[in-house]
Amino acid sequence: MFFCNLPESVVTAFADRGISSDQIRYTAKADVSKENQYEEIYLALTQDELCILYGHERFVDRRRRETQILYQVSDYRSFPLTEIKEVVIDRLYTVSTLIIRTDDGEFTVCRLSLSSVGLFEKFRDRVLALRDGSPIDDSGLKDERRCCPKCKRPYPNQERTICPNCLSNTTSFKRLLKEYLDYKKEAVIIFALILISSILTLLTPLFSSQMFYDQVLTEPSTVNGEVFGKYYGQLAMIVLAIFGIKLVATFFSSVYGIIVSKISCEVLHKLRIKIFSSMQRLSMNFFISKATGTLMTRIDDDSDWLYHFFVDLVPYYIVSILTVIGLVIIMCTLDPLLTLLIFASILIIGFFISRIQYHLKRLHRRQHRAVRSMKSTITDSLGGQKVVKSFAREEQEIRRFGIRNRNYYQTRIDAGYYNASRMPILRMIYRFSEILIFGLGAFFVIKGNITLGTLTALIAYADMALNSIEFFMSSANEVARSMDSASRMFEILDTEPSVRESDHPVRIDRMKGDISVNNISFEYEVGRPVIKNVSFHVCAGQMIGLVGRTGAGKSTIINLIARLYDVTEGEITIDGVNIKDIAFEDLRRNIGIVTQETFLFMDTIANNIRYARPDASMDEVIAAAKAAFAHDFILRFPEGYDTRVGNGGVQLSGGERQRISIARAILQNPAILILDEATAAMDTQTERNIQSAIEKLRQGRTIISIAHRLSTLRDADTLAVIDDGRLCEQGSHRELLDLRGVYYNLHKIQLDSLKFINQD
Amino acid sequence: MNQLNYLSSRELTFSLSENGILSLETGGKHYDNVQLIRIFPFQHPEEYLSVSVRENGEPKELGMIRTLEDFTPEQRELVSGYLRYKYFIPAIEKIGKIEEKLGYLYMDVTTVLGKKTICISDITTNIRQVQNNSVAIIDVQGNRYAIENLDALDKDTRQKIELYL
Repeated sequence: MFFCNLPESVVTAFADRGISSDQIRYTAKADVSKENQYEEIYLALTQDELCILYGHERFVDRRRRETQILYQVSDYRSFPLTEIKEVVIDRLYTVSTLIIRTDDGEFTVCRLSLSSVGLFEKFRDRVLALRDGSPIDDSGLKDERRCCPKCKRPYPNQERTICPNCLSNTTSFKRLLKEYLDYKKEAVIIFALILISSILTLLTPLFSSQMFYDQVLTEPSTVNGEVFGKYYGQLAMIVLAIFGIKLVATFFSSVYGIIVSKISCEVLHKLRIKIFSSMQRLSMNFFISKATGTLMTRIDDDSDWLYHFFVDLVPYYIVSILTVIGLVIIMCTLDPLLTLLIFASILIIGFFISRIQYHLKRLHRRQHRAVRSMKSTITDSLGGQKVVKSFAREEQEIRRFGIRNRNYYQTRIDAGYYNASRMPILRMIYRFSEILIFGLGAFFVIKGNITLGTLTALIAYADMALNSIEFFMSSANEVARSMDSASRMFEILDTEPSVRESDHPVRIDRMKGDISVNNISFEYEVGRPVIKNVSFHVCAGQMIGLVGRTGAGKSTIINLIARLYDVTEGEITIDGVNIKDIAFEDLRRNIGIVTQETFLFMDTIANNIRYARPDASMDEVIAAAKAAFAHDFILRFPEGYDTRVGNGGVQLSGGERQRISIARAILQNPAILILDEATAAMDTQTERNIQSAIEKLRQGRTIISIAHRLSTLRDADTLAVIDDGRLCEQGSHRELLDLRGVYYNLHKIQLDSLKFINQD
Repeated sequence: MNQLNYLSSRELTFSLSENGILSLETGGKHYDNVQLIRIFPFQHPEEYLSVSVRENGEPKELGMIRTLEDFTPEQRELVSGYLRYKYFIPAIEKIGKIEEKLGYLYMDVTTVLGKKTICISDITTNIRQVQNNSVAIIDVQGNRYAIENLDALDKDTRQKIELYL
């Protein structure tokens, strides 16, 4: 249902007022009442009236079951569509107002949060269209806000149907474990090795403390039926036994460490490939919405975190859990009372550690933010050195950095001071409790309740228990951070491309190039259309020039034709087939694009030219370069076509890069060639040459060209003038001049500039 | 450099409809649906205001108001009130439970509009200290919230938000 799904309770509330769900054509939800209070306001549009329910929602979360939404109606109002004169959305800074004008006056329906305004503009259009009986095109509409089926809250990332509210770190962990499914055998081996190594580690104090004191250092005797001094004086034997146990434990832990690290490397290698492949599959708007740096972090840092998680944290977690279980069992068999006291003191210390760590976490967060702020100042300042130097603002930059650096210094001091002042006290408390336990234990030894060996073993176990508890506490943040990394990586895997290939794509091996653009509209952001109802037709083999001011929407139109984005309304057909039905491979192979911002990969010039056709022969590469007037400048490089360009390679000028990009398009030999300011970075002579090259290329090819310099488009069969997202004029150069409209004005301005040059 | 076109307070008479739509009488002309834009919304909220109207469907800047101080008390109150209405941002008064879930921050807040749970992604970008004492927050749906004065918050709320500043 457009634009939002109504909860059951709201459907019932409408039904109680005589509006059945079959009658409802469109719905919308606002969140602020006209009295400026959060309220849930549901609007339902039927064929004849606009119905508005005011009320409050209550989410009743139920364990393992769907959340129930209860709706308490506070008011209801309806407007027959025939009475509505106007629907006004008074766009304000953050909270806008929806007003309905009728013959009886103006009525403020509700207020709208920023996020609802776009949706309400579409809703308003449909109210007016239904009132006037005008046709409505819903083909480009999507369900505006997809919600989690369980908790009913909107997905934070609408392109990913994963609800963080319902998922926990355990979910990500389980999902990550699935990646290890191929390694079940190794997992069993690892667990067995960890188990053996943990048991051996647990046994060590029994030998190094209890047996050492009670059987080796004590003379043979029998106290209360218990035999002591069985190995009296056999120091070499006990030392060798301890050494042997440690050696075997270390061997096993090294072996599982090696296996874990090998498997984790493999799993993460596969995961990185999966993620990179998923990224390639995603649509352009994903890359626009996420900074490249963030995406690089995902492949790089996040996988490092997962490596750390699996190699360092998980095995140590298993070891710690096994150790604590083993410790409790062994210690209780040695002396339950002392064990109880030891664990009580460890828990008290653990409580203090957790408090200190909570505070330290806050301080470290602040420190982390300060260092990021300092680093971004450095990047900013060094990146803009040309501007800094040309305005002689070095001192100002030093001051700016100084402030950030001082802030970072202060946060480090704070964290350091806190750590340094609290940790010794904590250790002192622990040592005191240890001394107290030791004293109490000594008392038990004197009383004959336990042996000296048992006491020293218990103290050794207490240290082990504290280490394990400390690990659990200190690693909680690292585990959460690793799971965040996992979730970010899964976010890419789960994101669905907004431009999708049809399930049954039409294959067109070689297109003729007949393009029809029919009533298309497009918006990057909901409610802010950049292309409004544009239509034009280009016959196969013709050249169309798109003209207009900067930001008019020309480049957006070609992005839509190349299907880098999907139109919101209307359709584009090539050779009579809707481009949404054409196979991606055929569409992209038949459309070549040369833009002003050319991108060259880190590779040789030759490989950059044949990027679209890696099987092209060297003869074809040279021919394409010659056609694009790139051959001569390429030859001037000592390494010719083998010169490496891109990051870390030879730096080319804008014009040179563009000529390589044109050569790339020539080699691709597309049926439709799109030139978006392709010759803007070139001098007049080169531009002329390129124009003549393009002229040769025109044979049997449809060309769509965008250019600010109107002279570039003099050979176009037809010109389309785009202004503020609308097609305002179309015709030949002569026809448009006769119209004396937008094109005439643009032409006049450019002509005047030329006159100005001539006067000089 | 272009000469700035400052409008004289004597030549401007603003009026406000019941539904909060601003009109202007100036130079013998009447304009409906006038747009007043704060040029420096944080630094000078009641100075440097751009006055735009629609002429032939196109937005056109009539000029700028340097300061509201020159206006009559009634006009000044009307324009100030309108600007407060237009630039209204739900102010957060109290923060309840905060949970970080898979990189998103779920925050129970009490704003001047009532209680709400907001979800924030990319915390560094979307929780920003704009001036010394105020904070701007943007949730995943693009809605904005503000903390106008950090010092005025209760200790618990302040400690919670400071973790993200």
